Amino acid sequence: MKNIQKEKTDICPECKDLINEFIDHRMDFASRHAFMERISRCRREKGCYLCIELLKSFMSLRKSLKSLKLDVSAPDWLMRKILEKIQ
Amino acid sequence: MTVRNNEEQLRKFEEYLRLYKDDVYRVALYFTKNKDDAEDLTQDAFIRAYTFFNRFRHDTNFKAWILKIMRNLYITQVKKKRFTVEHQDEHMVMPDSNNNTEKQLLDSLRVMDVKKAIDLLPAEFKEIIILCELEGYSYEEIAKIIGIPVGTVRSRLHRARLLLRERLAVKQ
Repeated sequence: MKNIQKEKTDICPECKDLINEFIDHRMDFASRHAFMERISRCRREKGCYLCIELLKSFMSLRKSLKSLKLDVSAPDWLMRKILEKIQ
Repeated sequence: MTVRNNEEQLRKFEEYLRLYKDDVYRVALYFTKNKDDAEDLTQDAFIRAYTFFNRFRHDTNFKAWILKIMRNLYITQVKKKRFTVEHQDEHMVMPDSNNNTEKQLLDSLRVMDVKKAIDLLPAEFKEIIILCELEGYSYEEIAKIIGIPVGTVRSRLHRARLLLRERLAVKQ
């Protein structure tokens, strides 16, 4: 009898950590490569797209968040004021 | 403490102040969303840091230490309801329908959606997104600033991203 696999809806814990490590550039070249291999294999052999989809959406999220980055400096007088207060 | 030691301490502290005032101010601005409050918070954090500067170990990360002080002050002040007024984000780019092209207008609206989604996150997820995604701190630095293990930083970040994805997916 054919083994009917239950549809997978949760990402495996190991992949969850690896996705974040990948997105946040915490992997060296070899580990990044191994991770890409791993999720490609999951797609090919198990038909699981969870990691790939999550990776894509986290990357797109990062792009959106970029637009919120502030490019501001503390006003010049603030440093003088702090120094006055501590002296 | 001798006069010479005091002078040396002040000189060292001034160096740190010059190096990190902008980083502290920027994170304070993300937290408070108001220029005046961010200036006050930055000032209070550095004054407090100077008070305990003799306890600071110079072989450790001053930036993480001062940000931790600033974050703790912010939490205390929020509890005291010092920041009770809901401020209009002064650095928010508001779309101007007269001068912008359609694409610029859509981009601005998208930015507003993302901003709103971050604001709606629970505080512990919001600060992780600010520190990691907007300020680019490492997991280890964030762990020091917030005072939690690196593993917790990782899992909070994952959950924060999932929440943001969920909230923004509806609009996409």
